[in-house]
Amino acid sequence: MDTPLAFPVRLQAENTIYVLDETKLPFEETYIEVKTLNDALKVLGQMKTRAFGQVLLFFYMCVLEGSVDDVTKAFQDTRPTFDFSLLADILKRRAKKTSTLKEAAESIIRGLDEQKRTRARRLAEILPRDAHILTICNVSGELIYLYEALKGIGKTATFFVSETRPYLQGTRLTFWELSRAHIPAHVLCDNQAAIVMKNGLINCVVTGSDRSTERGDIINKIGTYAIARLSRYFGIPLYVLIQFPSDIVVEAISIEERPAQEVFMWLDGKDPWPEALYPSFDITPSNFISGWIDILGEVRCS
Amino acid sequence: MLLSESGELILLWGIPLNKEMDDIKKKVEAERGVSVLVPEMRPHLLGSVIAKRLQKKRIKHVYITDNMLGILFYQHKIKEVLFFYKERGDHHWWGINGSLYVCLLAHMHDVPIQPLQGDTVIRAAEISLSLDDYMCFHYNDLIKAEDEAVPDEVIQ
Repeated sequence: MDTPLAFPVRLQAENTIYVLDETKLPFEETYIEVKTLNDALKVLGQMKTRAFGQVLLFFYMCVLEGSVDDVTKAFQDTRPTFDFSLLADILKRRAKKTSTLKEAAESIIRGLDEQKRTRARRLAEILPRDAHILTICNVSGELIYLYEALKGIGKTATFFVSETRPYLQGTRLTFWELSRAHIPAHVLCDNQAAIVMKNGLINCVVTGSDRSTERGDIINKIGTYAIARLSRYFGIPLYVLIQFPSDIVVEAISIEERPAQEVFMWLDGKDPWPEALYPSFDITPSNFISGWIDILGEVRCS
Repeated sequence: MLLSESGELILLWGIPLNKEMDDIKKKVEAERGVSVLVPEMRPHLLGSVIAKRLQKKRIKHVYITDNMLGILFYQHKIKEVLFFYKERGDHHWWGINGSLYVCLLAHMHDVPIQPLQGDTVIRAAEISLSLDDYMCFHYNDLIKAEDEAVPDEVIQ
């Protein structure tokens, strides 16, 4: 089973980065050429790539630019909630052990994919034998790895995918990638999270996270907090895939607010639209999370 | 609009009867800086219909997708929920798809819920989600949208 979302950004021919345009999925699978920092910022700002894609784009852009600090500042200004400074530190540390920035970036990236598979195997060990998993947004191919890992130890899984308005990453990316891999999945409106829990359709929740703190608080796609509160109310465990937790107070992280017109971008209709809010992330405090699985596969439970 | 600019919000969930619109207007105008918060109300996008009705009555309002409610409760932006239910019976209040999600979130954040008799007929929005037809996969499916029951203890 493979999914283009597991590796949505690639560096080819030394000077060109190819970025999977996630906003075109599931209608078409097209790649955008990125040759300059401005190209990269445009792709990032327009949400053409996100999550693991923006990690890859950051590393490859540092390689193309030959500098880390300028890229870090520009990326951080474009997507303020994600911690590019942390990626910069990782890259700089690795570069001290390699002869080029490119070698450093490639060795980190190679490691990340294997680490994601390891993490999926560790999570599979924790989940119920017949896992009915509610998920939100998209975790860059890791649910496919998770399904394979569950099958590998004789467990089964059905996914319940929250559509994740307004960008619909749940429907367009997660539901699409699970369906094309013939993995059982249902898509639900974001506001159906409570009723599927109440009706006993769900026995665990799995989500990614854009940022996490050492205390265990996370920032993730808008809607995660509501799911976390509801899962705690119904006694359903929620597991979070985390990257590199930082020693910071979660409230100090700025929550990106995107242009209001993007709330309506997937609607067939005409202007004028009403005034709207679009916070694109929310904070989930650690006390609503049951377990954290980091990129090295380490598991911590509350 | 940014979250920091939004002021206090009265969350409207369900379909108000026409006679309720004037009361909503009075409520909003009674306090400076208050707006009606209109969630999208998927899957039928009823929020877009309600927003038009509010616009017509010149009632100040702001639109969100349903999954943005969590952060607004978390930040104490929502002062009250007007829950327009369809019917009441057997210690439950029946409302549109998503009613349990909204009322439980309000309950968990100690936000008062005012149940009001709403319209029982859903008039579909003139707009739709451009993916709704496309995403009918043969192998997998969509969770059916149905009216939901909210227990008395959640409302109280």
